This record gives sequence, C-alpha cells and structure tokens, in this order.
Amino acid sequence: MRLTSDKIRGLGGNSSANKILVSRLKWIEWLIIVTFILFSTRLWQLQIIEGGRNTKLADQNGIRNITLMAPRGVIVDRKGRPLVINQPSYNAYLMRDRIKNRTETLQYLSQGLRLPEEDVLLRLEKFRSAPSFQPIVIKEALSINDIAFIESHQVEHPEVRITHEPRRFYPYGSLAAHLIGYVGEISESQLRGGDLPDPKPGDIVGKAGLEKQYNTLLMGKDGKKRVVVNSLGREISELSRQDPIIGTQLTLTLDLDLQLAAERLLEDKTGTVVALNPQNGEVLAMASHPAFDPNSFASHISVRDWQELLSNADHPLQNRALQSMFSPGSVFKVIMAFAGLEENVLTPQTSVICSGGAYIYGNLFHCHKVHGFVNLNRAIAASCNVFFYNLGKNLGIERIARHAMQLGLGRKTNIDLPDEKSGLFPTPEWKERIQGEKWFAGETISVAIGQGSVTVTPIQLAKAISAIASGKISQPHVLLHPAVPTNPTDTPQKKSPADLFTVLHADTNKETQYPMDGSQTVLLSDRNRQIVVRGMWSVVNEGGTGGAARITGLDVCGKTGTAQLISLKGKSKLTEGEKSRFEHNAWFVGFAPRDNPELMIVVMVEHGGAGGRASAPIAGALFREYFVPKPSDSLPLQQTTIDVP
Amino acid sequence: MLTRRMISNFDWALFLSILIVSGLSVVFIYSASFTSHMIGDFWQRQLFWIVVGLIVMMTVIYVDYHIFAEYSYLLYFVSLAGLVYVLLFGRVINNTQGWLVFGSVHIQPAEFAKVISLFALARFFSNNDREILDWRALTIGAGLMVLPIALVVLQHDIGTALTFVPVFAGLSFCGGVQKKVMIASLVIVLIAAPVLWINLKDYHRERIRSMLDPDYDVKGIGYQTAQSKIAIGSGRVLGKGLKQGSQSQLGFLPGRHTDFIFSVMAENIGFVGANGILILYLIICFRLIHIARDAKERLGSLIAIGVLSIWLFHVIINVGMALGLVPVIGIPLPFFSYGGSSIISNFMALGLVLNVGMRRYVNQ
Repeated sequence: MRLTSDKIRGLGGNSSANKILVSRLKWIEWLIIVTFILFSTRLWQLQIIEGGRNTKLADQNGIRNITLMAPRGVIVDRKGRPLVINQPSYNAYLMRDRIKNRTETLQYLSQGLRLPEEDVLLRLEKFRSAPSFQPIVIKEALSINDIAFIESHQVEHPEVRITHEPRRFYPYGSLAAHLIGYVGEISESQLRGGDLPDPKPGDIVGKAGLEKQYNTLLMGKDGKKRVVVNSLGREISELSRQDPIIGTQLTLTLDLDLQLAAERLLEDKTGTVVALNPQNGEVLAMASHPAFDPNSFASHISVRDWQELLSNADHPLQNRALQSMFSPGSVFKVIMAFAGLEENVLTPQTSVICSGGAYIYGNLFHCHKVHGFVNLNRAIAASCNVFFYNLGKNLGIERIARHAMQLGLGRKTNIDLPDEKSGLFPTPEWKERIQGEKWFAGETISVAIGQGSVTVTPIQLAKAISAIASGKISQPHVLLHPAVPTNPTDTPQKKSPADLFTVLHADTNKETQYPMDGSQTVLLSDRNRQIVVRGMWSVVNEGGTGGAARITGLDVCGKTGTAQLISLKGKSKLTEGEKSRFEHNAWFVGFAPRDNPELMIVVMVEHGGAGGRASAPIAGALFREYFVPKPSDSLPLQQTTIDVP
Repeated sequence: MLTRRMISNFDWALFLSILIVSGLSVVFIYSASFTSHMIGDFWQRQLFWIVVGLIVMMTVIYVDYHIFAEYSYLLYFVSLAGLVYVLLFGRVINNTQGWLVFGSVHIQPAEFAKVISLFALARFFSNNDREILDWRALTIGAGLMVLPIALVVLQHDIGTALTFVPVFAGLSFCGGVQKKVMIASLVIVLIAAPVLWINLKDYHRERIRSMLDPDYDVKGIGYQTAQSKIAIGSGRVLGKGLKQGSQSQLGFLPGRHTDFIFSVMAENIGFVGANGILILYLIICFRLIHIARDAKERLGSLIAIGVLSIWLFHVIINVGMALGLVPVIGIPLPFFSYGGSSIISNFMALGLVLNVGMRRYVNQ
C-alpha cells in the first residue's frame, strides 16, 4: 500500500523538526498539569473547605419559582352590578419533592385535612408529568381549623404549605349559572389541545358558559416571583417579582333585576326563561332550572358531587335555553301566519269552520276544541289547529321551511355561549337524506302546528318571534356591544361575538351577513307583520289563550304553545305515574309593548301542561317586573361588600 | 487493512479511559434527568449515540489516515458547504441556527467541521518544508480556520466558534511558529481585547463580570454559576450518591444533563469521584501527547496535537465554568455531556488519533 506523497513529510528522517515539536509538547504537558492541579485545588476548596457551608446552602436551597395566580376578569351586569368576582382564599399546596414518607403524608392529609386518600392519589396521578418541584393544590378555601392544623405541623410536614390566592366567587350562587358557567382545573385534553395560550397543569380555566366562551379574555396573565425558601419551605426573601395582571372585565347585556325575578319564578319548576331586547338581540335574562351552584366547582369539585350532578335525571348542568330542543307547538302558528301572508296564501279575511277536527289526506287531525267560524285573528288568538292545518296544506312544506329558516329555526343562533344546539327544521330533502324515506303529505300538517319532527331551542324561538315583533332579524348576544374593552392583556385570539351574523333569505334561499349593531338589517314586511302582531295581541287581550299574561296599561302580545310529547291515543294507555313524565311542555312567547317592543320573553315549563296556564303567568310577572316601577328595589345579595381586585 | 502489528499498537489506555468516561456519562445523565419527564430518556439516547460513535471510530481506524489526508481539502470544502447550508436552511435551536433536522435527529454540522478543519490544517502545516512556520504559512493556515469560524459565528453560536481557535493555536504552536511571532500575536491580542470587549453583546459581558465578581447579580446571570458551585460543594468528600443530588434533582441546576453535567457528577460522587474523572481526562491528554510524540511523521503528530487542543480546551472551559473559574460558555464536556453530534465527532477524532498511533511503525 503506497500512499506517501512528496507533500507529506515524515518526521523520522527529519529529526530537527521533531525537536521543536517535541519541545513545544513539553509546554503543553505543563499546561495540562497546572490546569488539573488548579481544578483539583478548586474542588478541594468547594467540597472540603467550604463543603459544610455549601451543604447548608443546598439544603436551604432555596430558590423557588412561585406562580402568582392572576385573578380572572370580573363579570358585571348591564348596569355594572357584579355577578362574578374573586375572593381571597387560603389554599393548601403539596410540594411533592419534599415528601419524605408517602404513606405518612397521605395519612396526615386524610386525617388532618379530611381529604380522602384516593382523592389525593388521583391528584398525584394527574400531576405525574409535571416537574416534582412544582407545588400542587391539595385543598382550597381552607377553614381556620385547617390553617391552624397545617401551621402547627410545619416542622413534621414541611411538604404542605399554605398560599393565599384569588378564588372565583359567584355572590348570587346559582343565579344565571348556566349562562355564566363555572371554572375548574384545566383538563388533560385542554392541556394538550392548544386552544389556550401557554397552558400549565393546575391552571384554572372556564369550563362552561361565559367563563368558557371568553376564557382567554378573562384569564389575565399570571405573575411569578422567585423566592429563597428554607428547609421548612418558608420564604426567607424575595429575589424578583412580576405581578399578575387581572383579566378583562366583561359587561353583560343581562339585567340583574329581571334575572332575579326569572329565577324566582322558575324556582320550583323545570324549564327556562329567556328575555331579550327584540330590537337588538341583547339578552336581558336567561334562567334555566334546575340549576347548580358554580361556587362548588371553583377549583376541583369532589368526585362524589360531580357524579351526582351528572347522574341527576333533571340534567341540572344543561342550559335549557340553548341546549334543550323542544317541539314549538302552537307558538309556531305565529310563523305559519306570517309565512302564509308573505306567500299570499292567506289574507286577514281567510276563514275556516272548525268542528273540532278535520279530515285531510284521509286522516283525522284533531283540534283542542270546536272553534266554529274562525278568521286569521281568531285562529291565532284561540290557537285553532284546523285553521293552520288548512294553511299548512296550502303553503306546502317547502315554503314553510323557507320562512322558518329565515327567522332562524333549525340552525344555531350563534349566541356567544358555548355548546348551543341547532334544533331541527324538517324538509323533504332532509328526510330523504337522513332517513332515506319520502316525505308524507300528512307530516306537513303536523309541522303546521309545530309538531312532528320540528324541534327548536328556546333561544331560537326568542330570536324568531323577536323578528316578527320588531320587524328586524337580530343576533342574540350576552356580551354588551361594544363592550370588549381595550386592555393591554387582550390577546389576539380573544373570542368576541362575531361582528356579523348570517341570515338565510326566504325569497332567494341565500345567506347574507349583516352587522350586529343593527345599522343594516333584514326588514320584514311591515303590513304582514302587523297583522300577525294584532293576532298575538288578541291572544293576551281579547280572550285568547294567553290571558294570564295580561297587564293593564301595557300592550302585551304573545302566543301560547302546548307541545305534545306523546299522541293522545298513546297517553290513554299510560298509568298515572307515567303521565306526569309525558305531560305537555308549556310555552309562552310574548313581547311588549306592541309598537316598538322593548322586551321579548320566552317561557318554557317542561311538563307544565297548558302554555296558557303554566307559562303565561310567569311571562306576565316578568313584564310587570320590567315595566312597572317598584318603590324600593331590594337585592337579596349574599354579601354586602364586594371586593373587586 | 489492519495488520497484526497495527492492532498490537492500538492504544488501549486511551481507548479504555474514554470508554469509561462515556459509560459514566450515561450514568450521570440518568441521575440528572430521571426525575424530569421532559428529559427522562436522554440517557438511552446518549447510549445510542455512544454506540454509533464507536462504529464511526472503528470505520475511521480501518482506513489509513494518509488516505484521509489525500482528501482532506475536499472534505474541508464539503464541511464549509455544510455550514453554509445550515446557515441558509438550518433549524434554529437554542438561538443557534446550526442544526439540521432529520426526523427526531438533530445534527450540528459545526461539530464535524471542527474535526475536518483540524485535519485540513494539520495537513497544510505538515506540507511545509521547514520545521518553522513562516508568516505566509501562518496566514494561510489562519485563513483556513477563519472561514469556518466566520460561518459558525453567523449562526450566533459564539461558544462553538471559540472552539476552533485552540486548534489553530495548538497546531501553530507545536507546528513551529517563531517566538517573535508569538510575542507579536500576544501584543495584537492585548490591543484587540478592549475593542472586542466594547463590541461584545451585553449578555456576554455580564457573564464575564459575574465570573470575576462571584457576588455580582447572584439571582440573575450568576445564577447558574452560583448553583453549580453549591451543587459541587455540597457533594463533599464522597458525594450524596446517585440520584441523590438535591441541587440537580430540584431543578436548581440549569442544563444539568448538558453543560453542567460535571456539577451533577461532583454532587453525586464528591471530591474523590470528581478527582477520579479528572485523572481519566489527564490520562487521555497524556496518551494524546504520547501519540503526537511517537507519530510516524509530522502529519500524524499534528493530528494528535489538534485533537488534544480541542479536547483540552473543552475540558478547561467546561470544568472551569462548573467550578466558577471561567465565564459560562455553552460548550460540552467531551464524552461526558449529552449530545449526539458532539459524541460522534469526538469518537471520529478519537478514531483519527488511534489511527495515527497504530500506524506509527508501519512501513509503506
């Protein structure tokens, strides 16, 4: 193997070159020796001479990074009255890296702080992936006894430490609980999800309602401090500090007085009340019963309480105003009448004779009583089915669906609240696609009185009837516009209500977007609208089905609905006990005053029976609350002073 | 081709010392990172890189280094091209645009450029007819090193760029630079230092100041050094035992599996253990000097000296930094810090040196 090139000079034959190189290597040898002696000496100094001192420093070490939790933004009603605030709370933290004996610590926690061992183990499991020097909350809102207990055992159990932090507080308890929502510790999926900027285990985030919808705005920015702590975990000194920044305050469209009244009226019922301004879609009240107390969620609810809420047959966590779908029943007749007038199938003079039922397409369709000769106004006022069976037959399902959908049925209203349901408005095309079956003409007749496959959410109905009441379609919303304040903590990902909302036009069947401020809007034909409104006025004021909502001196208009859950034939087969579960759902939808309405109210009482009896009085009471001034307004506030940090 | 004679000249002392250091690195990376799930499997990856490094080393041993010498300039330009490539298309990791990413494997071409540049420079200096390097040879040699240094500086990796300097210093010193040139260079450095100081980035200046004054800004920039000194000191005579280092396990020590692995080791196994590691490095250095002295020709000597320069520099800076004697510069401890590119390029360098040692008596 020959490789040597002339360029590469060997050392062997050239001893003088070797000499310099070798002599210089001696220098390097010395450099190495000196360096290593220096290093060894330094090790001697640090480990032997200063070893004791350094050991102490390490034991005290000492330097901990502590997160300062940012208070979430306060939520206030339209008049600035606080609905959600923060309260100082003492929390017990567990520092896992200081646990000396796991069994002893578990025993200490379960006996001293009455925490079930399996709960503590679950929390340890949840934080397994977090670095062990990160403290975890083990119990919140400590009592005086808890604090005294922990303080007196600091020497034996330095792994448990007390910290003082802001905690979410809902002064009105379950008031508007579904709308406001609740907060809780960030879940595994949220940690990985990437919806939240910079998520950390242990973060408190919105889990439902507004707390979830506007979580990014509400969250603020956590601060941090670096402190020196001794071996007992006590802070000795603070090295640096970055103060937390409070989250953005949210001003709602909600009116606390009206909300309180709505909650009171629903107290012993299962159902929901939605009140909004029909001119602009501002939600003034939204109550859903049964409810829950969001305070019990403020950080981590015990496993047992959570199971109870989930397994409750009345679904207390469900916001019935937008997450429950019901047949609209006779309330739908308002929309039918409007569609009939728009399509020139109907005039105010159109009349039918109701003999308690009618044969259509060879089937008998019932009316709830014999109305005799009825014109349009009378048909709305008395809620005559026969009149609307005929109207439905003449209009046909396609035209009914177009108008219902223009008013927003069968689709989400896109209110700024999470997890809204869309309801359903059936069409032959839909039935073909989903069920693979042809549309039966008889189904149109059921749809005409708001039965059959039609389902709506109360908020949808509020939006649709608002349009008929005010003449313009507006977007229901909960955050006051323009209410998102410019705040330095605002992040670009903030969720503000869409500035535009979509309307499906009945005539062109196309979607168009309109600004939410009402500067540009879909106007409904005023003449036809007035005819329908006149009918709704008769419902309440001229011996119609909604007389219970009548208020002297105020032009209340409305429509009752009594939605069947089961056919009359089926009902006769039920036992008494079962009957209450299949009792009709009671609707009342109304607004006032008749011209330029200010308040739209939708009441739905589940299994309440007749709408005129169960729901109309509730609406009446709310109109009175809103329009009739009271001498002294006293608020049943749970606490009188409110800290707004 | 390996002959029996070559194999009998294999430097077992050097190889075994390095193998022990590498093995211990896996142990201490495990000890430093087992609590943290973020870097929990680093010890396994380190083990993998060591195995890859050993394969690279054996490949390098197999081929006569004179063949590498033939291609050294070509390799040099390929490595320059690699540096330009990462500059244009590289991934930024830890503020350094020096990374090529293949799936989950991150490669830092600068680590390889260092070994290749060393080789090119050794080849160039060995070309010289005389034993004394003249100005011309020195200038061209400096040029050979300035190119990769400039490219690495452009990646904002000052630490790695610095590691090219000792290669030039070591090779020109042993290559026979004249005393007067050395003195002149020293004068130039003394004049240039203040200028450099002014042009340094603020955080570099802060680091140097915190080193000169140990109490300067303990919570800020001096934090790492302060924590490292506490970690080492609290190890005392015999150390706290594996996985028992409260400093490292509490997360007080930053970069504990990379730049500050020495501190973890000293905390775990104390004064006795730390000196044991130092002795291993001492053996490695002296074996390299031995190979340089006994090499067949100038080229072989210079290769061994170049490798010695690199490793010695890394040890001085890294250990000095952990002991609070040198400013914090992020460079790894050879065969001990976590890092695939560094491990492989060091095993490559080891292969070269063993190659030189094995072929010292071979007649060609």
